[in-house]
Amino acid sequence: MTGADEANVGGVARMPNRAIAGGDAATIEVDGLTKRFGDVQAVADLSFRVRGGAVTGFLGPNGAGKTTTLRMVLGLARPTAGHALIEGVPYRRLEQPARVVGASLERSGAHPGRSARNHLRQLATATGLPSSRVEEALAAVDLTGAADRRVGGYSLGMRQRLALAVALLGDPAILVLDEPANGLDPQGIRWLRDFLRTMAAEGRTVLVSSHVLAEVAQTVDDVVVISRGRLVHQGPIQELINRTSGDAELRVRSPRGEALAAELRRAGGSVRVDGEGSLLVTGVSPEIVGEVACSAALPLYELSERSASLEDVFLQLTGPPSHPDVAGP
Amino acid sequence: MTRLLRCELIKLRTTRTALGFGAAAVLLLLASTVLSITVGDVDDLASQRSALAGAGTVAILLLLFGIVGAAGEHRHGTIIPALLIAPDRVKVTIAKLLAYGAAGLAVGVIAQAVAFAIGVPLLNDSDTGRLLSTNDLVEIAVGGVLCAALAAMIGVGIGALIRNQTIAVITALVWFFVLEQILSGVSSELAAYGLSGSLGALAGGTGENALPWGLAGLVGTAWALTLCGAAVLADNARDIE
Repeated sequence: MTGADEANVGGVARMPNRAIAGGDAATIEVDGLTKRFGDVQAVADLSFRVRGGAVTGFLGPNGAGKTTTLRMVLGLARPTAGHALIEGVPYRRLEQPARVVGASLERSGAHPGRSARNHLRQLATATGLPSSRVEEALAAVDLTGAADRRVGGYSLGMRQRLALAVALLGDPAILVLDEPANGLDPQGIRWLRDFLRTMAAEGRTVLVSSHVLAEVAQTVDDVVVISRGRLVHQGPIQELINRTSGDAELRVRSPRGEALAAELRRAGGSVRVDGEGSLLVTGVSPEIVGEVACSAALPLYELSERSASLEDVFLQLTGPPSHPDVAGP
Repeated sequence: MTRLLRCELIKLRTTRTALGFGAAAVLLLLASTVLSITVGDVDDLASQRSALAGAGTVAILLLLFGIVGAAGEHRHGTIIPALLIAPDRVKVTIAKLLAYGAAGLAVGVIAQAVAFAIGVPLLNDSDTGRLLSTNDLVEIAVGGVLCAALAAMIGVGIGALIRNQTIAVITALVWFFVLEQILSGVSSELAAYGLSGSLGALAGGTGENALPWGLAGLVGTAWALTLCGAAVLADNARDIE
């Protein structure tokens, strides 16, 4: 455990004003991780590293192997090959795991007949945390008012927040969140985005999985993208954002489209015509298109820029949906 | 381990499951005792012993209680935060076994106390009078309490081995009420060493070829150790879904 984490252990009640040093102090390392379920290859030779103090999006389409990977990282499933380390040791060998890593997997993990407060209380007891931590974790996810209600009566959003409260219970420096936005309404997604920003501002290392890049794009620093159990991209989110501007396409409408297309090709552009007769132009800037049209005395009805969306880039990376023979559970 | 045990005891206290099973066990033992004395013949030592030794029948309820507790962790997904907080699965399973053993013990004490409080005066007032000695009563009481604790622990073992709650419950019922009954028809001597045979004898039952009380306790404990040991080993090796 690092010095920063030791300070966390001593100061578990400080979560609302928590400040953790960034850098490489707390990291997750995945090396050659592989998981087979019989003939099904769920995760194949997957390697990546999560920077300390950064928020990393763990992305991939449904069935890509994200949850299976996180289960192996968290010691809930045994890898067929490879290993996953948290601060240099496997999860199951961490002395006080709740104080190092807080995790929320897809299921809330609460008994429907038990109240949220009692759910947190029994977990706090198991790891030797004071009961004050239960109240702080409830407050951090805005569940204090509903804490004595049975979890069975909670909405999906409240269950997700309860799962996040469990993750925060030990005031850990690392958070591993599996699809926390699943099933949330727009307000819930807004709340989650603010929550992740708060966690990032406190300097925590966050690994958050999602199958929707746009859901986490505004929050993450880095992305790890997998498809069919394999790594297809790892790097700063800015790299993906840069790809969208690099692939910009111009939409041009003119009553003399054929003549304008010929002029633009002469100017070095690549032109194709869509179903509505508009020109889709790449390879030249909007300024060039305007100048070409002006000098050729060709009227313009529309000149607009259409960037590739993050989702377009994501789909380019991950390809078509997984086939059943490679998708993990 | 102490923290995990306290955690399991909080879990037991914070849902209605334990209370429901406990109340059902007390009422069932009470009904069994009162009906045996008031409706049946209690004119000899064996029938009087049987009338008070209903804990063997109640054992199935506590067995189901243990199954629901252990397999329910997987049904509701509560096993996931439990293992994220405490990744040592052996300790987690042992803590649950101990907690359910303690709960079974508590239910056994209450059920036996209630059954004795009503059954013994009824026997005293019967035409034959009470034929059971104080030693007999102590044996039935202690055996009934131990039977309840062992049954709850065996249930945890079965529930941890067979994680699907419905399949685990059906398996236990078929085992108790079909397989061991068939075995009893084939060989009552062999059936006496079965799960229901040994637990019934420990509780003071007096069926044909019933094991002596002490031997029944050893056989019941052996069943508990075997099933719980298998559960601990299996749980440690399998993935959590």
